[in-house]
Amino acid sequence: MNCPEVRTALPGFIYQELPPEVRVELQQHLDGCLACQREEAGLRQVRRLLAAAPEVRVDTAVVYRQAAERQARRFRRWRSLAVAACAAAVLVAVGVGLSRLEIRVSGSEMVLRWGAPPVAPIPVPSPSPPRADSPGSPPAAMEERIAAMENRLRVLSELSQALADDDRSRDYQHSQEIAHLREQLREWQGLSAERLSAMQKDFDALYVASFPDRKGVLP
Amino acid sequence: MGTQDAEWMERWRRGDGAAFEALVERWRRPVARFLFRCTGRGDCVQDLCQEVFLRVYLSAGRYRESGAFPSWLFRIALNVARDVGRRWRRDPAPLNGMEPLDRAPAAETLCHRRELAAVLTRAAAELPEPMRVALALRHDEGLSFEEIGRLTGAPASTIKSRFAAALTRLRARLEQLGFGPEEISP
Repeated sequence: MNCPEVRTALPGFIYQELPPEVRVELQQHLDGCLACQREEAGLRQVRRLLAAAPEVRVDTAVVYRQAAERQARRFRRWRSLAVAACAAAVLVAVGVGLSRLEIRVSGSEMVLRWGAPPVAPIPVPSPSPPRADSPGSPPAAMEERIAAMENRLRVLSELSQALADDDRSRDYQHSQEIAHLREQLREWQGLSAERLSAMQKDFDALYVASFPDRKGVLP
Repeated sequence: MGTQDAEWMERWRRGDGAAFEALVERWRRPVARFLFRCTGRGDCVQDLCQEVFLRVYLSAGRYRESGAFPSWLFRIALNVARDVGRRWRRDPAPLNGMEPLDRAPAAETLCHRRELAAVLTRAAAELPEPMRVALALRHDEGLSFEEIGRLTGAPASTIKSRFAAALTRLRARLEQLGFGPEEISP
């Protein structure tokens, strides 16, 4: 074995991972090579000095608590996502529904219709060549569409506003209920304290009556 | 050992809390050693160890028994060490500012050995992560190169080279700082 080969094999040598025949060969080289002996001594020192880790304590109660907190957080996140998805689905459904709703007032009658728009009659092509300049019709149709779109958007905005108001009112209602329950709890605590005090007085009186010679001193 | 771990895992998954506590007690020191070697920061090991066992607790449902509980556990610990490493943006101990020691022979006192051990720990923390992992799992935990290879997804021969390179680098770093074999002889 030459020096480069020995240097490569030295980590395995000091951790006793080499086959016996290689080990013997390497030892023979070491016996006659001061530079490799020094390298081997350095590696052995590294092995010996690699410090131990500090002592640690794992509190399983903390693990259980943190696990419960994380699971609760994950559940809340999923619930929020589910509520948001449902709200979006409702909005889409309402939007689609409104797009098929038709309300029309003409003269003395009001038409309220839901469904596909009536199929327009196929226009019979005019024998005369079409006029190149037919002003007015495309912009008017566009304006109508924009107006209809704005109307739908307004309805959607009102709907979402109503949902938010409903949410706020529920929150308010819950906080009122909690305040009421707290008030009740305080009352019950007061009543319990009064009863305890009265019971204490009865007990003192009973004790004095039972043991008059002890002058009312409780043990 | 592996059978015992498997039994504890099985009991714990059936709801036996004592089995989880037995697993923690059995593995907290190896996990702490591994985290210490990977991060090089003893002050954080307690919290990181807690995080490892929290992740073990949360991912127990995904564990499949194949006699490789240590690999599964150390993979979780490695992920924790990597996460915290990213958070610290590799903030190594300030070894670069250290002056080489006076080459005058120092008395081989306990204090001196502790100082050397601290220097070596900080030097180990400066190694690239794959070398630190190889060092931790081979030197500290005694895992075979094949087991480490399965755990890290690298060939066993690569792990062997990384381990040898880590030792050689540490030895060279000590020498560079003035700690030759003659200064640290037993």
